[in-house]
Amino acid sequence: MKKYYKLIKEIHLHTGLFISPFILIFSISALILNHNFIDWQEDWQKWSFSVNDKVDQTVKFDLPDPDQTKLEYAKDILKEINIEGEISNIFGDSLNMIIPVTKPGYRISIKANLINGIAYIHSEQTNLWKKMIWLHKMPGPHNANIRGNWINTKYWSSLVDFSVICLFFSSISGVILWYYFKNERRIGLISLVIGFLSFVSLVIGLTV
Amino acid sequence: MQKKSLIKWNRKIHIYLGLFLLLFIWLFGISGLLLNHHWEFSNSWEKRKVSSYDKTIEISKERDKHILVHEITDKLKLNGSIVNLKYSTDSAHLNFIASKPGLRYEIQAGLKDGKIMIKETKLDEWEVMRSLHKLRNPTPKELGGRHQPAVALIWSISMDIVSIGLIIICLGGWYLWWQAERKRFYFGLISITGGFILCFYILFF
Repeated sequence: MKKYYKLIKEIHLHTGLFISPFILIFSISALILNHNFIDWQEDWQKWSFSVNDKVDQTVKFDLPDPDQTKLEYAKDILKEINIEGEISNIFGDSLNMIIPVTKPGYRISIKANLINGIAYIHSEQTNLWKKMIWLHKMPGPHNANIRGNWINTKYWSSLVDFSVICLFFSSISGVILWYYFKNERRIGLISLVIGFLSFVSLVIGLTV
Repeated sequence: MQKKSLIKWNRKIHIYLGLFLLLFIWLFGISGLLLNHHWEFSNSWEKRKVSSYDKTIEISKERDKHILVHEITDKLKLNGSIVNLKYSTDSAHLNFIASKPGLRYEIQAGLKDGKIMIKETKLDEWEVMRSLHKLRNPTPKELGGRHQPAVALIWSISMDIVSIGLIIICLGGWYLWWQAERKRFYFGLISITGGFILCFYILFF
């Protein structure tokens, strides 16, 4: 076992260092989400349609090919009007299409007139805390059929998966390294047992 | 001497805190993956078990919905977070959902006859994990004057402890890396820079 010590130590160091910025983003945003320090639970429906109340920009676009899915159609419109981001939903009828778009730092409400090819755009900037919340919640469980429609959301999703795998490697290697430190075994074991008991009692308390 | 002692204590905190938070970290890691993907095996809603039954209880003349819901859940011995609390259009029923990780009760309480229709939905352990990940402090508006269940409050406090603990583990880890021999330091610099560049790319561009 001793011959693996150096290797395990290196795995722990590098996986830990690599995921540390991700952990900071998730931990800080978890505190914000848990305590509602900022108003992150805004009326989703209301801001999706905010372009109805305020228009910052109008852009003309060529109508995309109608023989495609709603999502592909909406993506084509975004390409035409030069807007990038995650399409969070698609509303509308044969006359208008409402496309709320989000990305870290921005949320954009677009109303595309499908008859005359004019897009009305209302965009709002969000602060650093909301950027972190966006990252914490993306792609998430909602609207599964369309989520991950922006290249950067896919990229972030893969990065999060990779960082979780690194987190497992880092924590397992950490437990093995602890085993090597004989002086730390007793108090370490007490910490582990207290953590285990706290976790189990809370889960039982919440579910039973 | 002081520096050596700082390294020693930092390492101790790094180890003990990491071990204490181990199961919490694994839970949030696994549930994070579940929330990020829609894997068939974890499609809990498709595998839900639903049962419906009626109960009759005595309901007081109180018409404040927050007091009433407290009374009804107490008499039915239900616990969990209350959502979608509202009167029916004719005000003859009080409807709400009481939910906790893995379990959801849709309640329709007849205020005149005390007849309570309960629809119970049981979800599997994957949904329990997802719910634990998402459980948080409700806003005053969501609470509507009611008290948050004690265990839910403790859980949200423990989420803070996990978050703050992880920040301490990270910062402590950086300090230990900073003190490492030069060769390890420079290799470590590649790993941490890689992590920061990838995060900053999506955060700022």
